[in-house]
Amino acid sequence: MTREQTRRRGERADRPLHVEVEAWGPLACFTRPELKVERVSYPTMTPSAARGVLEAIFWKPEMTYRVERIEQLKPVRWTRFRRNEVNNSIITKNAYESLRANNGYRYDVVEDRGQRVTVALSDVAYRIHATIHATDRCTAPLPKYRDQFDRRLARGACYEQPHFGCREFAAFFGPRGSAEEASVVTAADQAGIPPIDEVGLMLHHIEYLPKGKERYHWFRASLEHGVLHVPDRPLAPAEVSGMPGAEGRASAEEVA
Amino acid sequence: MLLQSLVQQADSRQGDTPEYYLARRVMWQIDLSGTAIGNAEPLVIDLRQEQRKITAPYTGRSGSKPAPILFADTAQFALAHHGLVKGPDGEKVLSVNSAAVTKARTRHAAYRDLVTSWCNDHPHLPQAQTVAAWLNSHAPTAWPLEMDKDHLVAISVDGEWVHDLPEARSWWADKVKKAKSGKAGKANQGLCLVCGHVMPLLSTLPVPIKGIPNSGMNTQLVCLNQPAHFRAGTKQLGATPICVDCGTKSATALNMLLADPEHRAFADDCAIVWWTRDPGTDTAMWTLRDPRPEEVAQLVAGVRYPRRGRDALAVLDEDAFHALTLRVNTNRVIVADWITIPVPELKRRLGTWFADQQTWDGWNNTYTYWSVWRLALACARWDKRKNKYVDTTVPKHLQADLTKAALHGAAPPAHLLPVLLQRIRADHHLDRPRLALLRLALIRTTTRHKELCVPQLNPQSTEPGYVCGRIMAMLEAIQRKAMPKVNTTITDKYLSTAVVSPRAVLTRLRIGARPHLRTIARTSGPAAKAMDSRLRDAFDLLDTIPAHLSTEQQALFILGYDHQRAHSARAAAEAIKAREAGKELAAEQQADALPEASAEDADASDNTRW
Repeated sequence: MTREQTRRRGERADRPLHVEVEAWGPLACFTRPELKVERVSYPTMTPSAARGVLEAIFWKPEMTYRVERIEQLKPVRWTRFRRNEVNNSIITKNAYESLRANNGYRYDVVEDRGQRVTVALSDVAYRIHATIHATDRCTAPLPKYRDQFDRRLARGACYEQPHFGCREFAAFFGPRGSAEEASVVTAADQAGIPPIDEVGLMLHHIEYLPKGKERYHWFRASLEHGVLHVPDRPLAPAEVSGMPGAEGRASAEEVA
Repeated sequence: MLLQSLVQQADSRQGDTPEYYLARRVMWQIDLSGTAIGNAEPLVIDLRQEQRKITAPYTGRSGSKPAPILFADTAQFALAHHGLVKGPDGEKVLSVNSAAVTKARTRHAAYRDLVTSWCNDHPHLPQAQTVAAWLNSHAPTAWPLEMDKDHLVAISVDGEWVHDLPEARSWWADKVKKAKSGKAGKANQGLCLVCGHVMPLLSTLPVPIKGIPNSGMNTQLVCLNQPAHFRAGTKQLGATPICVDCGTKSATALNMLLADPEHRAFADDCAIVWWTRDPGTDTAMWTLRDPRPEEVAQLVAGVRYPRRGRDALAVLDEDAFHALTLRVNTNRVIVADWITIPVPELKRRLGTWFADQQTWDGWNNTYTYWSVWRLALACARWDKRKNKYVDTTVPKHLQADLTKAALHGAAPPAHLLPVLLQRIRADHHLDRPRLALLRLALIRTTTRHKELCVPQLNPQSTEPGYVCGRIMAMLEAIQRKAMPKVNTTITDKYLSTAVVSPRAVLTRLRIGARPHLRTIARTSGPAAKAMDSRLRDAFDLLDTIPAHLSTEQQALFILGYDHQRAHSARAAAEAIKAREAGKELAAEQQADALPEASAEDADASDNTRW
């Protein structure tokens, strides 16, 4: 390694490990937890959805992302549609066990239709600001991952197509400025974003506990000029055991 | 956010209805006498004629073992009524089916337990003693003839409803809260999604939503009862933590709004409710239902000062306007649309809505505005014989879509324009609401024809559709002037073809107009000349007469036709005025003036045509 390279590396290691991604797409649904059967979206992207986009681009067990803020690049536009879905799910323990017990089980989708409405966002574009943090398994210097991320981002590489809330709502992405280059965002869009809007409680992250249990963490979200600031710490956690009606999830540990 | 603002709304209007009470139609009143304790027969009063709603306890119930409701329940619960069935003579007789009898008995037993436990909790209350005595002495076997098992029966003592006692209210509220907040013994405290505090959580919402079209008995705002709705197998409100207070208040507030005609409107299968953070604010929302010209004019004038609206947006507005469009999917409420905007912004949007659908009545020189339902009706089929619209043929959801467009300041649905044009071509009926819809659709879906979408004539425009429409109106005027008593005008005959392919029709009609012009020239040479030159000027605006018109151009054709007609109507009105004043008419005015014969009933004729 030449001295020049070493010097450049040293400099770059001092940089805050900040990543920025622009993502846009024709549809998005970040479902509110209180209106999730007949889905209604939040007006903006949630931090958990933003983390999903980042992890679709680059994921390593050695590091995690912390979403700091999400900028909304286009004004909110709503759309709604109905879809035929099914009522059953194999995620519940009961369904899983009845599947295991009954080899000849045949699931008739047509018999089990449920129609559900989605009130979604259309024509969305966001700029996600996040930082990279090391986990216990991390051995290499962190800038390594940041640079890997930046290279993948510039190349447009991803493990799976990132999406906005539902798999069907594909997200396109690129480094800062790419949304404007793709002429998704125009100057007029910025003017249409209202100054302040209360959004209510929003999911901060989900904590995964042993035996497939989950604990949800929330924060009070508000949009300031289209920017959602995500606090480091969520509100006090909800008691996971206190959830009325918790049936338990058919998880790998439990079944094994 | 929706639930939050509903809770706020409930707080600001508090004190109207007790918790878990609802306005219900009580059909039978059982009046017990407080003084004659013991074996006196209670008075059964038939309230079915009164059609009055009484605030009575209520909670949603379902399943195979529905829970009883305190003091105001169906006859099956309150009196163990077996239910009526059709007898051999077609008359209704009491059911003797053993299943019905058992069901009635078990339900009555549950009701009896509930009321008895209330009586035991209030041993010193005279009303409780009376009710307890009645329950003990009374084994219900005989019911009034017309009573059925689903009729609501409520109990009163000396004419005072027992459920209105403060003891009954608080006891019932506690009872429902306990029943609805998860299983006993489990720690069911948690962070409420609505208020953000750690509170006792609900497992299901306790108050069903009433008043949405097609809604059932137990329609819930938040309803998770299928495995696909759950999060990680967590049933009901498990993954949607809502505390007891917030859950009750939000549903009660929504019920109150749905019951209040000042705050709701129905459109097809939707209910639209609206409210403001400050309950005293006037939103002028009624203008969508019943626009009064002078107040709408004020709204429209407000649009001319856009700065004021923008300034109002820039500050954090204390008073926000919320509107919610609700629908029902089996037993779940669908939030079809949800907006929150500052009140000034709402007024601006309403103003733009009316400015966009403004039409000009040339005869009276006034602007007209239409309500949303009237606009939607204009898209229906016109019945010539009955001289009205067939209201069953209004396109589905149109009224709701138009309301949505008004509230969002957005475009009406894309199918509006083709449907409307098809209707106009098919039934040859043109009136102001149809024109208002055409203008609205054109202005809001394209930006190209801004200069034509004014309510009055634009004589300079060279837009082919528009000019063709004007020519059509001129040709019709020539015919009418020459033959005042004509039965079927050229519009009646050729409008539907002319709208689509003007070249074929207009060339022929222009040739046909020559003899008419000669007829006019016999009585008034200058008028004929003016009409001819006006027609020639209009043809000069076109490079060629277009062979076919696109949908957009077809709409412009209709607009041009109407603008020209309204313009002539104005000129004719002025000509009449001038003639009355004894002035000599100029050639132009003579051309516009209505033929002498029809001048007297001109006013009437104009009104009937529209």
